[in-house]
Amino acid sequence: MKISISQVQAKGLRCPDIDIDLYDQSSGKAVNLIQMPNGTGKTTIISLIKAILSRSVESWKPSDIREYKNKESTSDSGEFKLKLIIQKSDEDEEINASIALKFDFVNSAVEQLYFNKDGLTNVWPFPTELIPYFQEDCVNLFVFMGDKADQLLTQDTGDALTPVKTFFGLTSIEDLNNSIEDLYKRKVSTRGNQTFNSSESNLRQKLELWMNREKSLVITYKDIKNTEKEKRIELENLKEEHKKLFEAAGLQTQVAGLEKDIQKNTTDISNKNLQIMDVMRDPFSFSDSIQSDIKILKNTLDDLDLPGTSRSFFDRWLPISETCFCGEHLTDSKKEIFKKNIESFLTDDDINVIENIKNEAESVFEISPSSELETLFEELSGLINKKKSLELQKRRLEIELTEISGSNSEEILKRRDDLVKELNTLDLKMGIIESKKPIRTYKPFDEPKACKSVSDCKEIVLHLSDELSALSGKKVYADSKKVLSKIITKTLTNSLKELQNSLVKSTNEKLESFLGDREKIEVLSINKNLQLGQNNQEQAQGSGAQNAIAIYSFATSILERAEANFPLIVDHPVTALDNLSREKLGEKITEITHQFIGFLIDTERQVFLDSLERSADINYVTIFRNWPGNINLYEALTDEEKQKCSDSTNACLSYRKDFFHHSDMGTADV
Amino acid sequence: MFKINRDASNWQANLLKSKDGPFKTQMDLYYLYFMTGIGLNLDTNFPNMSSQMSDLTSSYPSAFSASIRYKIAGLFLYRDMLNNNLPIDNKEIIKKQIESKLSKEDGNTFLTPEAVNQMNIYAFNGFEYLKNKYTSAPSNEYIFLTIFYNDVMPHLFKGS
Repeated sequence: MKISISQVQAKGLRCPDIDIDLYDQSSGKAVNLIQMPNGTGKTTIISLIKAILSRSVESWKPSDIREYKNKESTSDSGEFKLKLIIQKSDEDEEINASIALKFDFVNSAVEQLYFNKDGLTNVWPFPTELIPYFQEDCVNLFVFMGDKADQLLTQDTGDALTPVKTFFGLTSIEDLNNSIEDLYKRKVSTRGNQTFNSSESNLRQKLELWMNREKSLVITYKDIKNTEKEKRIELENLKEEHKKLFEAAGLQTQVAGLEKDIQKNTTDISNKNLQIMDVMRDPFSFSDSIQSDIKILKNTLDDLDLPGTSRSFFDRWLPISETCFCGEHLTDSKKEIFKKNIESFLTDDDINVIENIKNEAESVFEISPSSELETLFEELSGLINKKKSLELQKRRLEIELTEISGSNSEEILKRRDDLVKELNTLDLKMGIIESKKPIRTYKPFDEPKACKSVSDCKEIVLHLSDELSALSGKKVYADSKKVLSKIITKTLTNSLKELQNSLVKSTNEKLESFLGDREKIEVLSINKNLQLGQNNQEQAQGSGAQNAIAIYSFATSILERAEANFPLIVDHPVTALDNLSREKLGEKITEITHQFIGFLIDTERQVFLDSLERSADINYVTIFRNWPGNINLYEALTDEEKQKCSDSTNACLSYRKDFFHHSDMGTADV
Repeated sequence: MFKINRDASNWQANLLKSKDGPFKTQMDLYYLYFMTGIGLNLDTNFPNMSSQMSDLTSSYPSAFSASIRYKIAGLFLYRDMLNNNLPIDNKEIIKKQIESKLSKEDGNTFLTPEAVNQMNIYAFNGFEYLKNKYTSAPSNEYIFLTIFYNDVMPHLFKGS
């Protein structure tokens, strides 16, 4: 099934009032490039597209809704509409339908409306198979905002398994497992009218307390997660705002260069830490005195010549033998002498361990791991000094910015630092709730409040439920639940494994065809992140183009396999790429997807457009606000475009290639 | 069973936050606490010490290769004898120490449960030492490693 966006309309919102026509492969224009000056409302448009496709407006708070109001406008309402074209297969007819968000700013309310070819409808106007894909975890796969793309490649922040699980329904199976557990716990803990003996009654009471604890921890966890999500969004917005201030002050190039250096330095420090710990795990690396100790130990063991290898032979031989090796009869007294001597031997097992320790000790005579450690720490110290110097340079630029742009910048920085601290605290709290300990640590399970971990709590509730079911004659529930859970877990594990393997394969096939041998890179595994590498050797990331193409290939592999080909919608598609990567991506983009919608600023045109134009027919869209600051842009419009511009309340739009190419939009449109 | 000082969990939280960080598991930190404890001969065992420890793991994680595990076992055997003023050239005593500390049965640690308990005591005290040494819980890995290398390691394994 192919899903394309044919039109985006906005009115009365924070973004300009616009009506943008978009195209897909069937029209020969698979690439849509929307160019808007910074501050025009690009992010607003993308987040509204996301909101519609993920049907997330239901969870919006009044403050979220008010955020979309056009502050310049006196209107109390607004509308955002997406027209979609769905084609189930080449043989089927196209389905044209729309989804709109109707904003009521007086009541801070928003309503999601559906339209089919006959107009407003109460029913879902698209094929029902699409319903499961209209949710945030799916939409995050094909709408790329900010550094979401790079996050997929990073172990720390990656979330590559979520779209895999969501697109293929594994999340629902996980939910089923949870529902079965909940049902089981309820069944076992239900009191009914029965009377219980004291031990059963105690256990029941204990279980209830732990179930309540579990509920409360789950709520706390969700709250923390939500707060964390909100703060991360706020932080991203602040960073964006700060970036714009740097741009306005003409310091952006310096800051970008500095940030790149800081990023590289952070990676270098992280790699050095890994190398150091790798060496430190060898206890001989700790000091020269350990190396002397080990030499003494080895020499001592050699000198002592502790017998051992034949002890097991004598242990077996002695009780059954009548004759000694010398031919004499083995009397009991002789046997006693043998026995005493044998006891001074080490066992085979001990000798085995000692031999291995001696072998390891040999290595100390050859290399000195402590000097390796010394070199590594010298290198780390150099990197830390560089880090300090880079941070100082950045701080100086921030001070310069404050001098130029006033207190606004300082406030942003202060709030940013506060947010980082708050996020660290939240991360720590989440870490504790997500942590795991053996449940025996909590025995005898008298203090539910001592448990801070959701999964430990769940495990204890299940454990107590099992105990109670055995005690109350409800073991059949426990057995049934175990069998069902086992089947579901196995199904989940196998399905996920199969999907991971098949997606690695299809992503790599795409990568090979897009990149060829020259820039060869592979996805080695799909777990929390997409692990890139070559010949089974992991590498942190590839070049800019390799990263982008790997992520798009992964996204389209999922979409194709799920038979739900959504468009790729990308904010700033090439802003982080060097010229070579821009060229490469431009050449390949039409092969990756049937509809590409890229939101960019004019500085991204360089090189990217040249290579794109060699391989694709492009739908060029330029949007800017209709106000005096943009008079030069306005003057360059055709009469017809000017007419349409005056029809709109606040925006001008041009589909002309030459306009797109030559418009200077470097200054923030604010 | 390796056991760790209960206070360690919060204190070391920042060090285990990053998946790209050098400390892959709590065992990496336990190991540094142990090396600190044995290196400074901190073998004091006090009543209820075990109630202030929590279970960590029964075996080393994969980052600790067999070669490293043998080295730790050898170092422990030798250093613990020194810490207890046992002569290292007495055949009988060494044999007894080997029998009470080393074990092929546990193919992971190569140590007897008694020896692992002794390691836990060193690690417990090593952690306490570090906690007092660092003015506050370390905020990131490189700060921890640098202080450990510059201020702690030079004092370890002195006087054999």
